[in-house]
Amino acid sequence: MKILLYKKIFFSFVLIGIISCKAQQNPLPLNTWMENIPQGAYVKDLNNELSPYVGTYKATYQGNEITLFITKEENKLEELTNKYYYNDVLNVKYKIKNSSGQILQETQNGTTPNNIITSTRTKPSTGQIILYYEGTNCGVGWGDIYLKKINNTQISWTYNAESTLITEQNCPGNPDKTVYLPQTKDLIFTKQ
Amino acid sequence: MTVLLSLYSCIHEEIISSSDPSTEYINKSLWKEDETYIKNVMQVYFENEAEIKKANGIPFWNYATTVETFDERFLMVPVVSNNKVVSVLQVPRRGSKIYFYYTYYPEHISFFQALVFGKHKKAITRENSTAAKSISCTTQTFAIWYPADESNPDPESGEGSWGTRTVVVCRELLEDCVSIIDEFGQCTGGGGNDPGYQYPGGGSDSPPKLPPRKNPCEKTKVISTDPAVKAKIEFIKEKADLNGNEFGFKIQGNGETSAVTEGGKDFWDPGDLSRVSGLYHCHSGDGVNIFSPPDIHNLFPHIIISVTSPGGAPTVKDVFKGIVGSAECNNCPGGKEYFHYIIRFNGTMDQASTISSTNYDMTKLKKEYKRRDNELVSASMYSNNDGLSLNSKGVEKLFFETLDKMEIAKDLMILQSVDSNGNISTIKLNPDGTTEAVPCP
Repeated sequence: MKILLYKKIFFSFVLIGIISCKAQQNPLPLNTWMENIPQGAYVKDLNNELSPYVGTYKATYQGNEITLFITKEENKLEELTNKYYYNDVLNVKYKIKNSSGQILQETQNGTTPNNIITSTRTKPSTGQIILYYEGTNCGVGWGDIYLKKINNTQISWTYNAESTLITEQNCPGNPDKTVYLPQTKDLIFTKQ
Repeated sequence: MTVLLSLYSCIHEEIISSSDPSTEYINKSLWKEDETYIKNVMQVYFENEAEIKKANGIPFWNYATTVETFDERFLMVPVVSNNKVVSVLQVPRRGSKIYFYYTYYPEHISFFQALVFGKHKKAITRENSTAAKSISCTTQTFAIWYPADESNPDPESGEGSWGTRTVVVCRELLEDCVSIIDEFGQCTGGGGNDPGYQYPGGGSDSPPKLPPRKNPCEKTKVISTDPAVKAKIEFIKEKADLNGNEFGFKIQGNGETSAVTEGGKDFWDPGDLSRVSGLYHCHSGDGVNIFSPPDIHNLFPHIIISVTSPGGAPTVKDVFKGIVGSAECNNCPGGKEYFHYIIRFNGTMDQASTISSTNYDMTKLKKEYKRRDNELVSASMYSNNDGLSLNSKGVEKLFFETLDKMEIAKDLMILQSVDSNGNISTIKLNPDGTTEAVPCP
């Protein structure tokens, strides 16, 4: 029995080793174009460009207080329509309160399927990290958010939303389609 | 729109026998009909019934209607089985030949069910002052009495209400086809044996006088030169410059435009699309100035609802979606580059239905779309303002790549651009993935 158990453990380690080796083989830089990413490859933050953004940040916009909770996730599975791969990303959760302290929207302590913000690549020409926002209900507000590190305590925020054509088929009922995230350019967030 | 409604003819009261298959024609419709054509078509039908008959039921010829045509060109006749209209046989003439095909439009079946079996009914003629704008459609309507109490069904003395039944026939739909028109009004087949029957009345070898068939360039020209459309496009174009709410308007099947309506921040809801052939909306702010995956997908349910609804678009190709947007551009006049695109589908109704019912993973498609936007914008040939946003070449490339991801045949999608002078171009995809604007004649 003991020999059998050792064998099982040995093969398990070998298997894990193979999977790890596979995942770690030839990591690709963050800005590798999708068409050049092989199936199952690892798109890695080779230059450690994402880590400086990790932290909690606050800003006030039009009377609302916005708190961003930025974390880094390594080796995250990314599924495209025709392939999958792994990559390092920033995940952004947030909490938005109005001037009365009432929470308008929060993704930090919720399991909402919408409002996900994840980094996709960087923009070397401007020194920004590009993040994709899935939008709120019915996808309203989907688009890109650009973060730029200004100094050790401040980052700037720019958010460009895409248009959504609402129909009874793609957005039945009358869900809240308000986008609470600040749709503006160069909003300064301060690290807490 | 001026709609003139006039009531004429006395109320018809009759009881229908369960069979009306006589070969002697007596007009029992509520309108004056092209009796010569009906009788000639009946003759061909009875001579070739075994070959022509492709559905259950018997044509009730006495209720055939030529829908206000009198040049031996078209008729539709209800096919009845067990006291129910089960299909409608349509018979257009092209030159010296006539073509029989069975259709199953619910509106047509309902129209004839009430016409054949309704007890109290009266014709209503409708004259629409804008009907002849670009598409030749004829509407035929009658009123039918719904008694509240079956024991006293007489509208003169009993309680009840009048309802209406309408049929719309569009000439372009019927006569553009060189082969068979299926039950969805789509031209199918092509080539092979001509399924037509020689028309005994002779008929000209050339098609009857019709409005010339319009190609996509001509269709867009009709729209883009309409003063009402131009004014509304200019209005929403101004709105596209602002990072505010979205705006849009609709163009109905008869060419009329709706008022511009305001959506919300980042969205616009066009509302009911059943009589709408085209939509225009603005892409405000700094988004991508071309059709996104949801924009593309939304076109297809719009096609289905519009083409199958009375007063909607007559053919699949007549349904379109337009967007206008702008982007900062260092080298452009006024520091802005304007985008004005139109899409149409050049496939069949069946193909449109398949795409319409495809359950796309929009979460993935949209994320890839934006990620691809960011990849392309980093290439100088696709960005004319230092990588801030895509230029026209960039958005066009992104559009065709998106079609690939959605598995929509690129050659079935027509992408057109309209420049600030109103010049229309068809955007062609080159084998190397770049695009080329081919000016419309």
